[in-house]
Amino acid sequence: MEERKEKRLCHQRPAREDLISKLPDSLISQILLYLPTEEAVRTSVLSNRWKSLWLSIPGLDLDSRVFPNYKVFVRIMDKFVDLSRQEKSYLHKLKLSIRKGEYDEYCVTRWIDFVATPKLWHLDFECGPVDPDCLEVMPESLYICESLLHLRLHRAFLDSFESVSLPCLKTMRLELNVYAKDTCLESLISSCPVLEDLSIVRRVDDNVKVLRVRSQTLTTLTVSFDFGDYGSELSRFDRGNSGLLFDAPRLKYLNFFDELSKSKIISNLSSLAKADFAGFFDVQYHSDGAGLSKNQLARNFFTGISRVRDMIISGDTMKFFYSYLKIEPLPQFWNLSCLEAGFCSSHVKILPTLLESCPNLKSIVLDLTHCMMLTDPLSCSSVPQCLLSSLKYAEIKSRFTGRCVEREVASYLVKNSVVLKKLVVHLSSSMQQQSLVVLRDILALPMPSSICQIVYVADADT
Amino acid sequence: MSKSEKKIVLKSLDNEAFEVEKAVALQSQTIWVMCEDKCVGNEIPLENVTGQILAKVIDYCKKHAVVDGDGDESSEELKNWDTEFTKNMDQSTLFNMILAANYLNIKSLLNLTCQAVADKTKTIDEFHTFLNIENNFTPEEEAQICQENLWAFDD
Repeated sequence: MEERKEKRLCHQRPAREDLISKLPDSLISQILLYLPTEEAVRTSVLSNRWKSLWLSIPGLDLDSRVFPNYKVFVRIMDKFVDLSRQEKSYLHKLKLSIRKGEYDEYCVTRWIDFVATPKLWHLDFECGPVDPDCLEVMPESLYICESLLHLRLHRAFLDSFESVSLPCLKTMRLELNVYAKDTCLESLISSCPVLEDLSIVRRVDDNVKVLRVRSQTLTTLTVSFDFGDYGSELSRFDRGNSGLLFDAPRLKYLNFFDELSKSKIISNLSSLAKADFAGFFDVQYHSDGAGLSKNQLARNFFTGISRVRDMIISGDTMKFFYSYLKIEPLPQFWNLSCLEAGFCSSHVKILPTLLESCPNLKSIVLDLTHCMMLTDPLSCSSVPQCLLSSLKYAEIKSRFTGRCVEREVASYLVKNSVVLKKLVVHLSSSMQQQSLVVLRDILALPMPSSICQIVYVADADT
Repeated sequence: MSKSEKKIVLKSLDNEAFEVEKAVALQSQTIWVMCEDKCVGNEIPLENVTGQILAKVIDYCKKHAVVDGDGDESSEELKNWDTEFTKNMDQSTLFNMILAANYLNIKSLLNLTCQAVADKTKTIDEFHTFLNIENNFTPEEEAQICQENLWAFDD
């Protein structure tokens, strides 16, 4: 009996064995690749064998801020590069985050030039705020890095290059970079034969007038502008000559954030599933579109995205929809089934007109948190098709409870809907008294027979 | 293609046989090369993998053979499945999975299992305890190494 017990204990022992040391070096360095570089370096104190194992890690993730100063960081990086050169080892992954001063040495170009070998599959470079003239230049070898899958460049200078060959690149994030000229960016994008996900954050001085995105494979595109804190850079933006042009037949997800370039030409977005307009957005007359009025350009834009299934429109973007809708109706968005729309006070009155263009809408979320009051009542001359046959879900978000906006909107939807099943109303929790009055008024409305749920949510004010 | 050609039998170190779809097994580059070379019949002996580990590897390959190439939802689902898959593996299973993934040359499984070990050992103390690595340095030696790589030890 004693003996059997002993045996069982022994059987449980293997959990205490040093299993990792049985792995070959190449597999240990694979594991170390998934640790933050500092942790991996700390394994050097584990035992003799581990002393220099970290140097063979195929990936490096370093932030200059963890070093006592930039000079020490440069020394360590140079040491690493030298050792890799001696050992003929190659990096698969490099993530560099630097914060440097005006007088610090320029080293990033040569480091990236060294790692941009046919083994590199992930490069992420980020620089803190610096003068545009002090940006680090990307080496030519980066544009012909044939194994690269993922590329992120944040505050870099992309000079003119001889040729591009990035046959494996699937995701590209280009943030706050400066380009030698706009054709650099254009050919970089169109020369990636398998690119799926592209995100561009632009700065006003990036030397790109017209952003041209032409890709046969792209599925996700995010375009935004950084106008600095409180839009401080906006005055330096040469809006008059700015524009964008998209030709991406496989694009499914399109996201804009503060996209204020003047002309927007969209061709071939037949696969579009979701469009998100965050921040400000506008389309204006552009001198290239000879003879086209602002509304014609905007109409072309709307027609370009009209197959979308899911759309989010911010309150600031609604201004653009509003000024267009005042002149003529939108094209029909036949496929649109979910719409999330923000409004400010004076724009709520276009809701019925907006709904007219969405004949198959199933779900709507209305953000009225910036509505102080309603200037005009919602007109009901004719009831939009979606209210008669498809709209099943409506949600209203409001903050200034008791100023009748949410009551008016809820009443419009409830009175005219035929198939509505669920209505969710968010009201401010700090105005409990008014909220209860509003809620009572909504509940007193003649409900369509289809309705089966009304939900009241008390939102805490932020 | 006849039904028998679509199936393949994998035989583990301890002689356990697994019949699987060819598409499932071919995620292993090693098996793929073996089949290409036609140096084996329909039965492939895998001399470095036990039945217990092979069963898990096959589970992984089955999951990834079915869902690959579908829409976004399934890739999210796949990620969750992967997390669950390695979550409750004990240390020895995890290391044997790494060795098996390396031997069978299934890159995504190798990445997943290495990531899982790294996730379980976020600090150096965890390295000592979870991995049971015996420290054979004298305190002086350890201090010297710390000094050399000082930047990584500053908190």
